[in-house]
Amino acid sequence: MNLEVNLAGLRLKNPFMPASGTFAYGVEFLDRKDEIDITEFGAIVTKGISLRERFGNPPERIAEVPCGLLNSIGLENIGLERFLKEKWPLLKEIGVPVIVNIFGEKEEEFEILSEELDRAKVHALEVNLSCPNVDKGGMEFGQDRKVTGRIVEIVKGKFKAGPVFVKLAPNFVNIIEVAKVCEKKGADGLSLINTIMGMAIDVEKREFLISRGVAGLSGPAIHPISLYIVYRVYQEVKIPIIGVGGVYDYRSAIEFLMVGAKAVQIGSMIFVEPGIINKIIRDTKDYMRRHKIDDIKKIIGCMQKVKKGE
Amino acid sequence: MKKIEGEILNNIDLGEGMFHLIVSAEEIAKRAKPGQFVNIRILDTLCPFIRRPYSIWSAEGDVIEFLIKVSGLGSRLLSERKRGKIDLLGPLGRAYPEPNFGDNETVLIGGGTGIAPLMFYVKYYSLTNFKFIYGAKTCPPDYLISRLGEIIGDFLVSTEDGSLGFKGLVVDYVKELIRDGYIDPQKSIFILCGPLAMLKSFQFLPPENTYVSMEGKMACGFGVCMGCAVKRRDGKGYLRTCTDGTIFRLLDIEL
Repeated sequence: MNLEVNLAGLRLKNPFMPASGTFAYGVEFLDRKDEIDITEFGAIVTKGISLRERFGNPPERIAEVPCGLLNSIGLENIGLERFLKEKWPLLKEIGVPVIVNIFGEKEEEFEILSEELDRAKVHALEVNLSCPNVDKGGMEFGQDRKVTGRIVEIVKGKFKAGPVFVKLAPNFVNIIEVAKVCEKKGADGLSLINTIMGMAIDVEKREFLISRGVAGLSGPAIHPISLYIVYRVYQEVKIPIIGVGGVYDYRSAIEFLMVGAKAVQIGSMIFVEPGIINKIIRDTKDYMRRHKIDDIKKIIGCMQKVKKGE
Repeated sequence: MKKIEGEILNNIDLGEGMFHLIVSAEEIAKRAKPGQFVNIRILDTLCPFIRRPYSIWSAEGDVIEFLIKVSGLGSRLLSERKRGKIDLLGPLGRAYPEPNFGDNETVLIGGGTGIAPLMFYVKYYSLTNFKFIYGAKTCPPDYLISRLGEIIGDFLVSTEDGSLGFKGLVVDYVKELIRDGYIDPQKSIFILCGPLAMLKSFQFLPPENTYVSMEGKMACGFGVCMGCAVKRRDGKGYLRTCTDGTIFRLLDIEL
């Protein structure tokens, strides 16, 4: 049985990996093999790294909503220098491709990040152009097609060590148009989607549940939305898509593959079930056995064909 | 950290919205130390979505116990679970400091169900040189009073409505005890567990000798979501309640 996929040149032994921001830097789990075996993952995706350390947003940062989660962490991270010194040396020894998620407030920050991470030869980048939880950058970049295109050009110009994925969200933008711009400017793939902006209020206290008011919605609540976006964008671009948004079991992961995603990221569900990625890998193998599928590539995009009536 | 299926042995309604959950969960029980918590998945469904963290009231042999107050959907559903399996992730968080405070007396102050980990602390280390102060809204159920007597021996109580012990907030009670010379803040180590408003009211205590348990909203409980941020006093960002705490020295954080 073959679960291997080629994701824009990255050879993954299976399509399943954590979503950025839900698995810290990955190395935290190296000595916890009985609960989470990261050596089984298709890839590891790090928490978003910025040029300088970021403290993140004040609490409350987390609120539960029906079948989902609002978060406003604010890209708290240790910064590029400490990442390269403390995390990367451990990450690169794991034997699993490492996709480093990056974020900047200015174009030149993306430039330096790409240059330094190229020098360190990290395996791939995921450029976050869609974080809803910071005032500058992120969202604003992803909302503007011109800026998005320029950042993709900058990153592609500096990072040669592996593929560059761009992570987008459907907040106030025509995500299909932004996706096309990313492809045109040389992005090697897309991660669809980042969290969707949302909010929740304690009506007794007349307070937002998240101190910043607005937050990013994740979890099973957004899965049908992200699935449809992957389905639609797949029809418009040729570059591979990583499906992300609300995966909670092997079925919701396979749905992404069926609409054409070549890989799948699992996010919030890790908080609930730390071993969920290993379980999805096991359950997908069972599914393939039950359906006599010898190669996972035979599932990828199969529901696109249904649409076209083939 | 272990993720295991525990078996509910008993789930007793104590009144006042509180319940006593007793679970057989050997792998967690034998590792658990006072101050640590367990993140419970209430149902094998997607709503409620995230686990609920509860501090450990007791862990002995194979059995782990919790004192929980119904405060929302998760705790309400949990209060209704009387039998069957339950999904536990734990023990999580750092334990309370081992009692090694020299001549200092340990003053344990619990608000509401915040008494649970403090009682575990006393029992686990067979603490002797301590005072135990329990702040409640109203007269606690007899069940709790007798258990306190059993584990703690002598303890002091304040209730907001005056139905038992000192009438008023526990902070005012402690201030009175200090004025009366019953507690000497310079020769005491304070360990506090209770609602944030209560913890905030105790900021007059010497911050180097005061420990507080925090309850930041968390999604994971094991250090990856970065949700449960607690502000560092030195201005260098945040600590995480789940892995850096839940207990912090008041000197290190801003409430």
